[in-house]
Amino acid sequence: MVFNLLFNTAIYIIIIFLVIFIIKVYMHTIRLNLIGKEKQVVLEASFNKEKIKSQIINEHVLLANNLEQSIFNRLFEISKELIGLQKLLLNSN
Amino acid sequence: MKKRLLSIIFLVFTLSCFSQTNNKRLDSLLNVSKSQKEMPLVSTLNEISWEFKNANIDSAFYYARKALQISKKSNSKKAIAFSYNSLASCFENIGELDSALVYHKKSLNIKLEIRNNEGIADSYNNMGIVYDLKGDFAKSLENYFEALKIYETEDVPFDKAPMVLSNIGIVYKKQKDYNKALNYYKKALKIYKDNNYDFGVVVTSGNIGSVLLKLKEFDSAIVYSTNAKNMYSKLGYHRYVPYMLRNIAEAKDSLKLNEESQNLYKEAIKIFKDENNLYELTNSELGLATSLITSKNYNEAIGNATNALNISANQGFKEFEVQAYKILALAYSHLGDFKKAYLYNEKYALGKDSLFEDTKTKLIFDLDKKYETEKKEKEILAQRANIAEKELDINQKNTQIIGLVILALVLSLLGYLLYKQQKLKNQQLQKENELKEALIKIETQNSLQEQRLTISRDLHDNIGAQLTFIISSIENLQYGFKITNEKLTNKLMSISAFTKETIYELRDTIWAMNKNEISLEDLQIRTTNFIEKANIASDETVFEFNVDSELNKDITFTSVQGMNMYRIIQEAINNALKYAEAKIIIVSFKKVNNHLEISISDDGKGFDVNDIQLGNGLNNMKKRAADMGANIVMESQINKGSNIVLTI
Repeated sequence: MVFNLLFNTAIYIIIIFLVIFIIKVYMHTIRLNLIGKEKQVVLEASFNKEKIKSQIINEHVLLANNLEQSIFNRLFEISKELIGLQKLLLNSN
Repeated sequence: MKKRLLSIIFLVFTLSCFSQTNNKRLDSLLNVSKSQKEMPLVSTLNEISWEFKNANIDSAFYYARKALQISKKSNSKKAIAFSYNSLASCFENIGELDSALVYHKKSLNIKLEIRNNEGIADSYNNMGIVYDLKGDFAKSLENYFEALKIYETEDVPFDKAPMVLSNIGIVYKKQKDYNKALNYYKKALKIYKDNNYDFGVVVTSGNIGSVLLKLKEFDSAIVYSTNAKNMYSKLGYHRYVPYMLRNIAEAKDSLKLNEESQNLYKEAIKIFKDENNLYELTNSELGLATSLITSKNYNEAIGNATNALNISANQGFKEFEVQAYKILALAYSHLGDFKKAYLYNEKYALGKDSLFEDTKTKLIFDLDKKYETEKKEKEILAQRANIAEKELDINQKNTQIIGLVILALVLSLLGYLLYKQQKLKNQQLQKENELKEALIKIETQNSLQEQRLTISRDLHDNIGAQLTFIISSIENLQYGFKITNEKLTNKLMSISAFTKETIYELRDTIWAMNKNEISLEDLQIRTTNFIEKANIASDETVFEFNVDSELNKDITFTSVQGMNMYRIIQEAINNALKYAEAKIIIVSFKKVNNHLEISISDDGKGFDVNDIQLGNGLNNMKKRAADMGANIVMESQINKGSNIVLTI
């Protein structure tokens, strides 16, 4: 009889503690979720920023590539002309 | 015995269909029955049975059964109920009380079915009488009260309620609850008096008198009994007068009015003798003998006691026999005849023992029954306690099981929540890592590209400086050495112009590279600068640059888009200057349907759009427009100028 009473009491006390613990875990999960979402938002913002930066840089690189291509050709032309000029100068002399 | 007779008197009176037994009435009924059929016949047969009850019980049964038979044939429930009632009375008369009860119950059930309330009450009353005779006073009272309830509420003859009240009084008297008995008798008496029903008054008065005797209210007992006696005589019921005489005699004897008492006893004895009522005669003889002893008339007392003894011995009235022995012993002892006194005393003792034995046996039987009952009750209680204990145990076990189930559920829920939490953590960590990884990757790429751009810028700066050196060297050559060779001069000029163009291109590209985005305002300024330079280079051409005021100057484009737009404008103006030989060149920035429209129109030579094969410049313009996702339209007519529209 006494054992039964103790046993029942123990079970119900354990249940109460577990219920409190469940509530704690649930609240912690919600908090984790919020924190995780915040971190994600921050990281995504950073990523988007870097992405935009990357787009700009890529465009600049593209411009630079185009420019270099063009300048290379032009320099080649200039070099050709200068060589031609040199030839002319030598011939005139 | 007296009480039983009084009960029977009430039974006679409550059944309004039946009258007192007499031969004339019986003959008349028998005659009438010969000419009757069905319901009237049934009623008459029942009355005949009633009349025969005290005279010839077999005939009573016969007529009652016949009435029942005819009732069943005619299917009249009321008649069947009354026939059952008659049969019950017959059984009651011969002392078969259980059978009487069976038939009374059958009668009651039918009356309940047909809702004959008065009949139902009559049946309850009859059953009350039977239970009273059986000695089951509790059940008797139960039935009497049921009957009384109905009589008091229904519209029934006035004498029914007081009859039941008197019956209840009789039961309480038997239980020696004389006060209650008196209470009910008085209630009955009042109703009889209010209705001027003399017979009821006289019978009830007699009952009250006998109860008052028991309560030792002798004066009141005498008053009531005397009234009853006088009324019995007045009403012609002489056979009941001696009962009252005996009551009065008993009361007067108790009040020490011995002479009067003895006269009354003698009067009663005479009447009982005439009626051959041996029981009451013996009782009265003993009463007289007792009174005579009190008044010290021992010889006379002996005579009366001996009479009583003889009758008792013959009739088997054991109680009276024992009483007679006692009185004789007492009388002889007073007379000094101790031998006889002793003899009778011994007989008295034996008789008393025998009576006591009977009583004792009955008592032992009752005690035994009581003991068994108590034992069984204890067993029942023990079993109930056992069951209660088991139930408690089961309840506790149930509580434990429920507790364990709840614990299991709670643990499962907790486990699930912890798993979800861990899963969420892992997912978040994974996403975080992915994002961080992508961020690091893109940051690494960006930093690499930025380094590349830095190197490009350094290179461009270097190239710019070298190009500037080439230009200044060529100009030095041109103006420092007085070159007369036309070919040489042209060459130098073309190299210089080409190099300058290269520098402009470099500078334009550096302008675009130095901006993260190019606004419309930036483009406007750059275009203005270009037009000014073009204007300086070609004096004959008039330039117009219009910007729609509705346009939002803060519109931005990417570096590549801005660069492409600028190049298109440059190319268009260069073409207008070089090939169209235009005099007027108009550059416009307009807002058309939420689109930016850039148009470069001139009044030059124009060209056939379909015929001409597009040169590199026009092809580049189309390619640049396509890269931007813009639309370019080239309109031109020979000698009517050209219009190039770029829509973004």
